[in-house]
Parts: sequence; C-alpha cells; structure tokens
Amino acid sequence: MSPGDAVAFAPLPLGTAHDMGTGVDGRPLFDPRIFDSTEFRRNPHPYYRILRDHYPVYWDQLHNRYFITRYDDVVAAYLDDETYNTIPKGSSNLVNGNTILELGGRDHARRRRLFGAQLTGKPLEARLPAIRRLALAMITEAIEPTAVKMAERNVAGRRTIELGRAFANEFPIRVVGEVLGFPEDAQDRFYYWYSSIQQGKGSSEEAKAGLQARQDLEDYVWDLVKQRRRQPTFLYDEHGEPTGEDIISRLSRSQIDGGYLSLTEIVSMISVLVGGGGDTTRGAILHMWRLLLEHPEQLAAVRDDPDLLDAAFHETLRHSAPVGGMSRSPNQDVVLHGVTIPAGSWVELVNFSANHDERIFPDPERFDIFRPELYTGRQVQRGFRVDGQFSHVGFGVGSHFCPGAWVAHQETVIGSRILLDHLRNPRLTPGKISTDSHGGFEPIYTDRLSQFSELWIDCDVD
Amino acid sequence: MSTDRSRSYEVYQRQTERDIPVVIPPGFSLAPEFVADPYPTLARLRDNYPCFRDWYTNTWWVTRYDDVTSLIADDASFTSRPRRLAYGADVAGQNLRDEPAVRNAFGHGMQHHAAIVAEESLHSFATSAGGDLIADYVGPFTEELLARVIGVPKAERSRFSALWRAVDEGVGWHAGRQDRGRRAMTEMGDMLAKLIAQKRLDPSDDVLSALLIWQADASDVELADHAVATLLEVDLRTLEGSLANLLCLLMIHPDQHALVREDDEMLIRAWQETMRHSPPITEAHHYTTREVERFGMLLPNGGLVVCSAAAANRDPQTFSDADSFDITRKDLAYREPRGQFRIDGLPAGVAPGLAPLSKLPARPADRPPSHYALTAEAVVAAAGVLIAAAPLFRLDTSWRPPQVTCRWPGDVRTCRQMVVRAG
Repeated sequence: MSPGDAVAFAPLPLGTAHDMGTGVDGRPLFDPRIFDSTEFRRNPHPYYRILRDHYPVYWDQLHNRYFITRYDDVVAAYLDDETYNTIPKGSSNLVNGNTILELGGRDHARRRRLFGAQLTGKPLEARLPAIRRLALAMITEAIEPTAVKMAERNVAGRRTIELGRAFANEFPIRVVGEVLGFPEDAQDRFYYWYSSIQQGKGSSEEAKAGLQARQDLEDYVWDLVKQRRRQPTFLYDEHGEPTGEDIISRLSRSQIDGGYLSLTEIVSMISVLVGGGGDTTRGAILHMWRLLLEHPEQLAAVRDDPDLLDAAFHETLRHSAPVGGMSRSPNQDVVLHGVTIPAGSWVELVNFSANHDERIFPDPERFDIFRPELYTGRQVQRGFRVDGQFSHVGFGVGSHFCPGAWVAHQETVIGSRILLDHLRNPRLTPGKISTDSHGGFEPIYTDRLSQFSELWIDCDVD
Repeated sequence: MSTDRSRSYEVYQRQTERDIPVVIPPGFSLAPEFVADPYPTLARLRDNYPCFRDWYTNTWWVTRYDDVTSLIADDASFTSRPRRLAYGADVAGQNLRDEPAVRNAFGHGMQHHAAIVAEESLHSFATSAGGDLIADYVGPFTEELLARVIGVPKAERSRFSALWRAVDEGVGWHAGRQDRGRRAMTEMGDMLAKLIAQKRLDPSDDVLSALLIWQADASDVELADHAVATLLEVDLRTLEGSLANLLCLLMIHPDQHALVREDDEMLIRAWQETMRHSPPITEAHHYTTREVERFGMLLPNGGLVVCSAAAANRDPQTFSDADSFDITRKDLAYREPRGQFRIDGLPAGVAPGLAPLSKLPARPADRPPSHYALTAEAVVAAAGVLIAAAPLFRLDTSWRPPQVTCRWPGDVRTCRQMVVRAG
C-alpha cells in the first residue's frame, strides 16, 4: 500500500487543485501528503503552481526535502555548482551504483568527457545516417501491410498501431546499445538489464531483482572490458570510416588519475547511460506524438514543414518533459525567498514546474510549437536566455546538462520525419486514448519521470 | 565549506553493492500499519539493517540500542534541531529554558505543585462515577500543572491549555495543524503579554515572573514571545504521555498493578519500565553535522538520522524478553542516565524529549532537578494518588481495551482513552 493512500485526494479535472485551506498569512496551505497521492501523479501542475506562487522554496517536512519550483531559481541553482553539490543520489542509485551524476567539478568533467564526445558534434553527425536507417527499418516493418508485429487491427482501410510497441519502446535502446558498442548477441539481455536496473528503487522487491540484474550485467561486461582493453571496437560513419572508439571501449581503455576505471564504475556508467537514453527518449517521442495528435492544426503545420519538428520537440520538452527534476544538496546554509535551507538538505529542482512557470512561459499549460518566448535552437549546456527567449529545462542546465540531449533530439526528429511520411492521416484511436482510471489523460507522473504506457494511433491504408 | 566529493564518491562506491536481506517498503514510516503499531517493522529493521536508508522520507533509521545510544551521545557528529524550526522564521522569541531564573522557577514550580495538583485532579475526577481516565484525569492534571507553573490564572487556564496544545501539535509536517499552531502562537503571545503586565505589579514565583527577573527592562510583548518560544521547546508531551501509558500498562497488566499497590517504591520503576516499553516520543531526530562514515554507510552532512527509541528499547540484544512489560526486570537501570545510557553496566531506557543527557554525574546543589527527574516526580505523584484510590475504579470491560497508539506519522504514541467505572 502506498503511504499516500492513507489520505484520499479525490481526482479533480486536470488543471484544478484541491483547496487545502488558507493559512493565517493568507497563503493557501499545502499538504505534503499530496505528493504521495494518485491525484498528484496524474495532475501535478496546479499544485506546482501553488508552490511557485506562494512557496517558491517549499519545505516538505513529511519527506524531508525542499522544493525549488520557479524557473529563475531552478536555473540559478543548476548553474551554481559552488553552492549546490550533487551528492544526494537518486533512490535508484543503490542498484544503479555510483555515477557521474554524483560527481562535481573536475572528477565529473573527466569522466563525462569519455563518452560525451560520441554523443554530440561531428561523431554524432556521422552516426545520423545509421540512426535514420534503423528508424526506417523499424517503422517500415511496423507499418507495412504484411507486418505481423504491429498489425493490431486493419479494417476498412484503417490501420491501428501502438506507437510504443511499433517504434518508441525499442528504438532508443537500440541506438544506445549501438553507440555503447554492445555486441549483437547482447541485445536481448540488454533489455532485461535495462528494465530491471531502472526499476530497482530503494529496498523494494524491484531493488532485489535490480541487484541481480546488475550482477548479471557486471559478469557480462567484465569479459567485454577485458576484450576491449586488448582490442577496441569502433563506431563507423556511413562510408565505413571509423569515427572513434565506441563508448565501452573508451571506458575500458581510458585511464583517469593514473588508473583504469574500476569495473563497478564502468558498469554504473553504462547503466546510467542506458537509463538516461532509454525511457526518456521513448517518453519524448510518445509525448510529442500525443501532443501533436491532440492539436491537429499544429500537426498539419509540421506535416507541411517538417523543419518545425525541432520546435515541436522543444515545446514537447517544455510542456511534458519526461524527466521531472534533479536533486541537489547545498554545501552551506542557503537563504532563498526568506527560507533557510540548511547545509546538506535534500533540494529538489523541479523541471516540470520551471517549464510551466508563467513568469517565463505565458499560459504554460497550452501546447504551442510557435511560442515566441521559447528558444528552439540547439540546446546548450549553460541554458539559453537572451532576446526574450528562454530554453526549457527539460534537459537540465549547467555542468550536468543531459549529455544525450542532442542524440535524443535527433532520434525524435528523425523518427518523426519517417513517421510523418508513413502514417497517412494519423489520429488518436477513439476509445483507446490512454487515460487514467479517472478519465484524465496520461502521462502518469512518478517522483522523477512522467510515464506513458501506450499511445494508439489510427491511420489510413490503401 | 567545501566537500571532498571524490572521497564521498569512493565511499559511495563501496556502498553500492549491498544485499537486501528483507524488503522494507519505501516510505514505511508513513504507512497506516506503521503508525498504528511500529514494533513489527522496527524489529525487521533492527534485525537486518544497522542503518536503513529510506529514500522516500530521506531519512536514515538507526534501531539497535547500542547504535542509538552512542549516536545520541555523540554530539561531535550529530545534533538535534530545535522544534521551533518547524515554524520557520515565525517564532520571534528565544528559548530561555536554560536561563537560571527560568529553569529554577520551572523546576521549583513543578516540584511544588505536582502533588497538590494530583490530589485536586483526583478529587474532581472521583466525584463523578468514573469516566475516561485520560480525558478526565491525565489531561486536566497536565494542563493544570503547566498553567500553575507558568503562572496562568484560573480563569484563563482552559483557554491557555488549548492554545498550548495547538502550538505543540503544530510542530511537524501537517499544514493545517501548523497553521492552527501559528494562530495559537499569536493568541498565546497576546494572552501572556497581558499576564506579564499584571506580574509586574504582583510578582509571584512562577515562570512568567521569572522572566521579569531575567530581563526587567524588556517589554511585555518581547517577554511573551520568549515565553512562547520557551514553551515550544519544553517537552510536556512526555509527562502526559508517559502518565497515560503507565496507567494503561498497569490496567492491562493486573499482576504488575498489584506489585505497585503493595509497594510505593515500585512506582518509579514502573514509570521507567513504561518509558522503556512504550516511550511516548518514539524517535529522536538527529542531523549529522558533517559527513560521517558509520554503519558501513556514508551519512552526508545534514542527513537526518532517526534514532528510534521504540526500537532500541526493545532490542533483544539488550533487554531479555523485551516486548513484555515487567517492572521487576533485572536488566534495566532504574536511574536517570547521566553522561551515558549505561549505568553500572545496566542499560537505561532511551527517552527522547526529556532534554539531552546531563553531563554531570550528580545534580549540583543549587540547581533544580533535571527535566527527566521533574517529569518522573510529577508522573509518580499523579499515578501514586490515583493508585492509592484505585480500588475505587476498575476498567470498564464493556469498553474496548485501552491502546497505546499514534494518530498520524510522528505523533506522540500514547493511550488516548481508558474508561473506568467506580466500583
């Protein structure tokens, strides 16, 4: 039983919040048990709005953490790595292990550099044709009339597909697996490692399974590491020219502070890369398609000008980012908006909320790929705010900015271009619009992720 | 202050690979089952995890007796934080509990009034034909004692008690209770400011008058703020809670009840065994003052360590047959712990809330007894007069048996209803 079920917060229409009373100072009261409730998981934004408006630094005494929710504060905290360290590790870390997410400064930069280079710039550009081929193969296989995998229904000139199973579930993981340099024969187990480790939080049943999966991954990777140390493998561009060692070879062969990375560290790094590149990109693809299908006029605009997919991707990450936020811990007492955050506290920087801050993005609940104030160029690590434009913080900001942001962007846009070509007159399948049990739309928000179980699409066939 | 992150990283690295001996659901301490009865879960924690990291509530749980007591005594690495912090920056006054004038007035007041108030409370209870021992005796006794020690006149006492309870219950995570506490704090400040003005003209030996000795030139409002801040930190929940738990345990253990009735001296032992078996405040919150490596784990600076007194006091490594209530047990120290929890080799019960352990081996002659001793004396006085009159009462068996419970996570764990009949 979930702790939050002790209190019933009845589901409300999306966008409206429960009235939890008014305090003596005129501010609305905020009951921290809402964070445990089903209502919050399906409808978090009106509650974050209360926090932004009235408790820009909210101390949740029940869960012993502080929430920072305004765009300006979140960005400032991300950028201030003198004040905020990254030690407080997420709850999955027991299984995931120690990763660069917990490091700062030079230690962090040195490790990040090992794989960051493969995920951006020229090496990534060289990979794009391969990513395109993979996407095309997966989508054609799913959409072709003969496809058994996805032909869920095919009646009266209409085909129904589930976009997750057809494409989005596997595509990002295969891209990651490839960039990491996993051999073909590992791909099946790869999904097992990935899902078990990702789900293993705290000391739950899932964590137990997660530890087993991690051990299994470690056993496998150990042999791989020994091999790659002797003989590295490479990534190739479309002309068959090597663009550099793949990430596992790089991790196996690189020395930091005069020694190889330990196996534990390599495995942790792999598992964080896999976790960071799988569900998140899947979420971005599904979110974007859901939002476009819900806004047919914007879908039409994108169809007319597929270059708008870049803007659509950014607006999707602003409107429905797959990752909800990150935690930090202040090195010393911090006073912000009159609240003292003691050194060592758990501070939650809420991306979901910053992206919906009406101080930056007017009418934030509206999905609009033509938002003038949203910066839609290439994402940059330091964040972007100039000439009245602001980047979303779906990828974070600062030194821990998502290293795979550009890959995720390319995957989503390339995949979506191909989908646009292949899906004729796509629309949400009536009666299969994924909803929660109370009639609200998915996604379901967990503590850090917004999740999507499935997205059903109808399209026309000849 | 800079943190050596790479060292932390190394230690975390060692921490990564751990087994999960038993599954503890995340956020276990918020679950209704735990709130109703924490002991089964605490036993599993104690058996399997010397220090359990609960991600959900961002806490580290320490449950073994030796660990809990060593941690509470280690003020180099761990510290508790004042209760007022729960109200944020809204508490204007300062805690004067350790000011000699206030401490003396409080101590002497408690000593002077406890027995008298107990007699009076029993009198007004016994005139009726029985009733709820908690609501009609334990509650009124505590409130009346507090009001007299502070110096609240008769007419204002019930209002004052209600405010005090609201302020006290506002400490914690609950927004509604905290808001009621805020309002009550303001109202209590106004009430006390007026009383202080009166005390200026007509001083007495209560706490409010002591404030005037402490700083005669401060304004009434300032002093009232200090009084509110002080009351917030003075723990009377243990007094009320342990009295209720003691009576409850005696009622449901007739054999132990009989022992107490035969021998007055057993009463203090019964209280100490109650504090071990069912402490009203079940956990002490201590924060690390720096990064601490303990229990094979790295506790980061500022980490919240929950020292579970409930679990420590029932540690089978320390107390034999720890779950049974036995006022004759030979493995409990029946003295106030001073300096450390083991006294002549015997473990004392862990009783959070009763102020930090005194460092002094004995009480200096010019000081009133410690908060621990004052609480013990008051409870023994109140329980003593009741038990002397106890043949008059017996548990109303048509009612469900009295229970020691919490109402919400972090609540005082105490008995809230015990219906007796005159007989």
